[in-house]
Amino acid sequence: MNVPQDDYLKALSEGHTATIQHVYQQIFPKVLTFVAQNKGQQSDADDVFQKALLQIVARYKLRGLSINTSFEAFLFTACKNLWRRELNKRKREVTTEGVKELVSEERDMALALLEQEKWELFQEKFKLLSENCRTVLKMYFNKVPYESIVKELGYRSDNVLRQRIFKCKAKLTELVKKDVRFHKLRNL
Amino acid sequence: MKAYMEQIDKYLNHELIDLERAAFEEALTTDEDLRRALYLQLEMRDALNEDSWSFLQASNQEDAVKALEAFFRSQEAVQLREKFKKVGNTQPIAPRNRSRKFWWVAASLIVMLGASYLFWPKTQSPQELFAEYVVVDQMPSFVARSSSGDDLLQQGQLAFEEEAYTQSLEIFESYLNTTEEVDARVYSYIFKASLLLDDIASAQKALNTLEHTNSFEAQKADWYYALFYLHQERIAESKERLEIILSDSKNYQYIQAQELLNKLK
Repeated sequence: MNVPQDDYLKALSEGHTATIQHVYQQIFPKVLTFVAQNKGQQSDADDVFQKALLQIVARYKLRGLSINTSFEAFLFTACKNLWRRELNKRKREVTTEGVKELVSEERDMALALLEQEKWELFQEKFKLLSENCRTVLKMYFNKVPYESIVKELGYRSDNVLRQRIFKCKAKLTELVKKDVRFHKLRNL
Repeated sequence: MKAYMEQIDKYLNHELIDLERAAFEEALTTDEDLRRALYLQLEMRDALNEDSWSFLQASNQEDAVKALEAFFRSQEAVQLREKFKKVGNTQPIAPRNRSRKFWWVAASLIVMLGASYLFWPKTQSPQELFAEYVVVDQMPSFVARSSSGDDLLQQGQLAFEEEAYTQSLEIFESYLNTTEEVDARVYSYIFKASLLLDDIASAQKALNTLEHTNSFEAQKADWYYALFYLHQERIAESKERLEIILSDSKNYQYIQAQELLNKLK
């Protein structure tokens, strides 16, 4: 089944059975594997998959979404992020000693959608950085110790690495701030 | 800007001494630019760390949240989600990737096939165990559903609960003949009703179909196979399925499987 990316959006928003079957067959097994490998069960994968499809439909209908990459990759990323979000939400609930914020499912889905847009914005700007900046920042943001980065990437000292991280972050900050979408999606 | 970023970095990396930290936090209460810059760095860290997630407080976009909320509440979205769910329940999944452990367990159990009969305990027969365990799992409920196609499901469920298994099977058969997107849970009913009527071929067919649906209900297949083989007095194969369930405590009927396996040993 060869479907143009935007046709997927239209067909899904109209509840086209063959398209839904196709995306289930193509992508759901990958989502199930990802969720199962990350503390989830099939019911979690089902929930994430259905929410991601609905999130994409909402973005298409209300926020003018158009997909430039493959639809399969786009949906898989949306599913992965919804599951990462869910895991972090559970972690937050545990660290706040079970104080659970009462948010309706619909509101939570609305917030998740906007958070996904913000995540995409950061990723998009991150990709505009130099290859070296991306490598350094990826390690830095994923909490690889300075000493390990220095060793692995061959920096002369911890201090030189810190300066590099600072410059790369400043560049990324500038790129994000320049984008008009950021001002709609930021927290403050 | 540069001064902000250096301070923020030190603050977030816990590199400020107590006095500096207090001064920084004091500045945050009055300096809006500093506060915004700090939030941006926090958002960036969360967005680009694979284990974190940047949550939104939605303080400046309540209108967007409300519009999206209204969409997710709409009849259109509710129906669409229901459709996704139904189609998902009817999708076949690729055959499960059995681990080396599975084949080892299977081979060991086949070798032990004869032995299991020789050492069969006399206290409870396979049929007695089957009668005891076939009723322990709660069957899915269709009662909350309301569309016309689902009425058949409710009727079938009701007949099953009244132990009118033949009638229940007729209703479910009629449901299968009139529905394009089958709710996988129906196969659990057909399996059990057929087995209780000793219609082995139909029970096996329903079970095989259930196992290959891409549905939550399919997780029950190993347990149902264990019961099916127990009913057939194929003890080694029943144990094989129970061993599979015991490979992960999250599996359906883990505790019951452990108990039944002990009784079979």
